[in-house]
Amino acid sequence: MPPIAQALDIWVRSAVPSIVALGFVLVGIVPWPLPGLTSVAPLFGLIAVHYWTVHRPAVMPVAAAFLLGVAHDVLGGGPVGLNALVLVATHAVISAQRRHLARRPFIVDWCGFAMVAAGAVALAWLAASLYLGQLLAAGPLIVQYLLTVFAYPAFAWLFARLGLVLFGKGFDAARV
Amino acid sequence: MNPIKALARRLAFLAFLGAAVGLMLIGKLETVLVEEVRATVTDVAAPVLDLISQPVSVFAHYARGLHRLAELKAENERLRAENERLRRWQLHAHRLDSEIEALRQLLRFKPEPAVTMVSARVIADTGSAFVRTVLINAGTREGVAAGQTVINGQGLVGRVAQVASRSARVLLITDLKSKVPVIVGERRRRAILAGDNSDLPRLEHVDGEAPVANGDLVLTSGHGGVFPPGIPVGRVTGAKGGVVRVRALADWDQLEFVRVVGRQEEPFATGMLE
Repeated sequence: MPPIAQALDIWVRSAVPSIVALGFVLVGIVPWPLPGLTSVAPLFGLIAVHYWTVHRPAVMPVAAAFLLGVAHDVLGGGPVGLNALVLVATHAVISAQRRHLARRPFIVDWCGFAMVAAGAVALAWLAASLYLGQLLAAGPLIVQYLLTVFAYPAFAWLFARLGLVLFGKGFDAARV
Repeated sequence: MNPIKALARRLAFLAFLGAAVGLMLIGKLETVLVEEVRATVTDVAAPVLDLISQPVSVFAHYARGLHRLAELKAENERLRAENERLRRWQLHAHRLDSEIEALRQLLRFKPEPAVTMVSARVIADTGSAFVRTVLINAGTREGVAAGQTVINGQGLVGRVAQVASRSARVLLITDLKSKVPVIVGERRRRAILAGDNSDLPRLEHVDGEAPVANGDLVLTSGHGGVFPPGIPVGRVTGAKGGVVRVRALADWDQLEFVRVVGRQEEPFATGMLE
């Protein structure tokens, strides 16, 4: 393959995870017919940022996390910058703790995600409460947190398949 | 990792963190600017959201259809009975209509301005723990304007908060920022229906002393000129800890199509001039 085509190939392959993540963020805001799901839909952006930052940090730079957050905020109707703030902070925490999470059994990855997501949801609650100037009810957020944590294995499985297709056998897919 | 790379990474993190906080501050202070940008982006994304939401809604439609197939016969019986009952009401309504018309002519009553209706599909349900809004696929192109009332077949849904050329954002009556002047029950007590991001908005500033009763119908009062009067909103579901809550007639979980109600003239302007 000529060098330019090779560079392009690598670039396209690296962009796929972020594009897939953006797709899930969009799916998360279309109206779902299940009672009550719409306001507590799992935080797909958080799942994607966590998975890729742990397993393939090169394809989830902080800029991608920021842009995912902004896209969610702008389309989602909430305070603009809120999800961006949460995802950038999450990205920093995971990057710092990566050596405890990467190349470990899946259960470690999952527990790590449960802790990171708890911090992320708490930060979202705090930031939104400050922004709106009143303490918000925590109930929906707790449901949203649980749904997000329980949705994680399915997405990790999906992203692992995607990672193997995109980056070959060397990809650390977490031992599920 | 070498120290320069680590430093660069730290700086990038701080820059994006600052950008996120900056966006929030701009959103708080320069609401108009942010809303304009948001409207533009939403407009670009509207076709994509429309595309994604359609299979979801078709799937939901068939899933519900299968579920209902089983109850078809009983449902049919019930609907027949209801139709019979509604026909009687319709006759009654026609008679009242002509009576009201006659009385209005006697009183030289100024009728409410004529309304225009635009139907739209909900393409994004952007509700979260922080905000209750939906995105619809009609905008200025279809004649939708900010501040217009949004209803569905069941009752009041909300009002248009922001409009772009082919999409608009609807602030639901359950949102924290929603305040709707209403009248409650047969005694027509005035109150404000205030959302608090829960499914059941609160009744505030209820006029008079006697408590409102469970099941009382809540209608828009038309005070303030934002919502037209007489649109059914919900029913009182009871008081808990001194807070009276209202269950909206609109079913939030199955909000698929809505209608945007516009008035031919600006209600405020005409009210001021006369």
